[in-house]
Amino acid sequence: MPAILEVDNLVKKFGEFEAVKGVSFQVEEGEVFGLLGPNGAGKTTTISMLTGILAPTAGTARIGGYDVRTQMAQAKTLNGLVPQDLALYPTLSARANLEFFGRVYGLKGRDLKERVADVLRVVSLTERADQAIETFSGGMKRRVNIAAGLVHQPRLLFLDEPTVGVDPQSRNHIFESVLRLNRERGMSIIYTSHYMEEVELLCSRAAIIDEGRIIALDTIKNLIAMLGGGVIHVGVERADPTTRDAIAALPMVKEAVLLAPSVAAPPAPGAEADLHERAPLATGSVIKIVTEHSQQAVVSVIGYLNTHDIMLTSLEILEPNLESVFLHLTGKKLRD
Amino acid sequence: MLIVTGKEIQVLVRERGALAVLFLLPLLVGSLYGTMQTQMARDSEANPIFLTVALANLDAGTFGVELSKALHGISILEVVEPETPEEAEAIVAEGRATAAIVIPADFTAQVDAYEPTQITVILDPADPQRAEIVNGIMKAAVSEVTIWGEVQYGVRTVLRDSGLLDDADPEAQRAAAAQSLGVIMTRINELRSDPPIRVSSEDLQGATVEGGITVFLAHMFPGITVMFVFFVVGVAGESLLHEREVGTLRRLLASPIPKAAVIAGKVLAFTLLVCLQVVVLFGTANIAFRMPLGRAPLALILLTVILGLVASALGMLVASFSKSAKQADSAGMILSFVLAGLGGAIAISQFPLARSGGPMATVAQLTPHAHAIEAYYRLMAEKGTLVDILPQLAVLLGMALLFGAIAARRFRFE
Repeated sequence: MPAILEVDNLVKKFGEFEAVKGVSFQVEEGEVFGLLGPNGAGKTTTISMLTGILAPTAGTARIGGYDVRTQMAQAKTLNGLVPQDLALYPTLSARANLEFFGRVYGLKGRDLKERVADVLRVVSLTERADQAIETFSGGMKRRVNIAAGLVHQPRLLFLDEPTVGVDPQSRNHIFESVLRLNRERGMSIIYTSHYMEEVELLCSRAAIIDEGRIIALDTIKNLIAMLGGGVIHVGVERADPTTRDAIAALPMVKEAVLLAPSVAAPPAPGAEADLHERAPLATGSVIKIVTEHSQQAVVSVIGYLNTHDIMLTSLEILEPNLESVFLHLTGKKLRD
Repeated sequence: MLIVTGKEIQVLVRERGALAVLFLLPLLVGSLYGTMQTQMARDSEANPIFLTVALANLDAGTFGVELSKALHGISILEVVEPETPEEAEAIVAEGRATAAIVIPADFTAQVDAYEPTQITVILDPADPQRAEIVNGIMKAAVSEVTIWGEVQYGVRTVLRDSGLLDDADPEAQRAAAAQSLGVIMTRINELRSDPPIRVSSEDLQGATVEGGITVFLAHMFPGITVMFVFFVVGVAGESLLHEREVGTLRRLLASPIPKAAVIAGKVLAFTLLVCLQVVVLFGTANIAFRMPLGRAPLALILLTVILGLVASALGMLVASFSKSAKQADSAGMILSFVLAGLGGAIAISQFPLARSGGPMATVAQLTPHAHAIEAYYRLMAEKGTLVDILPQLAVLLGMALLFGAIAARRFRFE
């Protein structure tokens, strides 16, 4: 498949602060590509450069063959942006909003009416089309927000955190809309999120971005496979390189890394976290173990610790998913 | 750009609070102020100054009779005629008249003889202002008689010195003198009714200058209108920053329309709003209060459009200095009040503040309000044309460009 988007070493500086530090990736025509990273990682800044909102400090990108540095006007006609905010006029109706955003892309007359009717169908809001946005629920507003990015039928759609603050029902509706657009209309989509499950569900490939850099880029399957059968965080009273190497040699263990205690610090008092997100409650050493099969590896590791009289202080099994991959790669959680 | 303008108008017509401030409030203020001023003017016309004078005319001659007639003919004077000077003086002392006027018995004879004579005016010391008015009236009336005396003396002297009537009998001499005097005075009266040198209240173009309440309304309504026009500053600034806050500006920046068109579209929308404001307020003032609109409608339209540009550009400038939509709204409101005060938007006299001279007039010149009010005044009160307001238009346009340029340089779209 040809690439609809080629990003080459894109850099953005705000004064001395470098928000994006040389990002490169490609998105193929008809692909749903994920840009996964925590808040402040540089996802929105990257999208802003690709949509013409910000000028890159260095590097370039080509959208449908148009260079964003020199041919942004042409590139913009291929893009659609669904920003993170509810970028709508609340006192106007859904239809008036969509007609306005259609007009700014040059649509008019019957073509405009048909396109607006079509996107209202896509987001299932035909019945409420003539009501003011301010009377809508949060989820409905999100759906109009998406429709406004679709009305001119872009070839490449940027969905920037489209589910922030959305109830589960509306979230599912958004997922369905995204998949339908991709499958039925062949629309290429760049989906940014800090919800790893969304990226896993919707995207075929993803780049994990942190502190302005892409730290991993592959298919979702391959990214998760980086963790093998899962990752175990084992908190022990004491650990040294000898212990680490011995654990690394155990059956079902692919790799063992000695983490500094601060990396796996416990959550702040009062902070909510489920079992999968919570770091080991250990004040001593933590050994991160990449396994081929997490449950069998746990048996081996506990056996080793008992044999060598090393006290186990905590144990956390990280299921293989993008959240674990991010933690594995950065030592941080996506929602930190 | 027009797409953005259209959207902005759609949004604006739903902003009922802003529309109330921009349209209803100035209508209310203008109507109240206008009604008050018009009523005061009517009261003043209905109840003019009325003076009573006691005239003791002891002279049965021509000039005494003529002077008495002249005083009776003055509309603001009520003339009572007691028999004697003492009675006249008593009437003044009793407060029944402002002044007593005594025409001596030899008044006509003395004037005829070209000899000095005197009319006594006894004024009421308790009412010096009214007494002064009577004094002025008497001086004017007496000067008329003096002209007659002078002309009569001149005619007689010429006839005598020329020797033309030396052989005529005295009756014929008097008849010739009277005829000459009659001819001269007739000509003088003709010249008065159709003078070769006219003193008229006209402007440079020859238009008659309106007077009284009409002129005041042509100052007052534009002043109030200009003040409320600049309330657009807060609304425009808030609108731009609100778009940045909710993300619609970001969405527009990602679309093919240029940044400048986004801003220009907004400025055009608010300029149209200002034009509508002026049409509504001036229309109401014209229909309800007969405020003159002048004779240069195109100049009026051009001035209004440029005024709208200044107010909208100032709104963008305020937005470029504000951190939030709320701050822009508040700053715009405060600024519009301060500029209205400094620019003389609240009319307290017949003429715009900038014409009054002094430091306040100098400060007023720094505001767009003063220039707009002056231009409206020239067009509407003084029936000026486009040429007369070119300096004001140039200043206002310069301000619009300056505000716009600074705003464009400072405003952060992201």
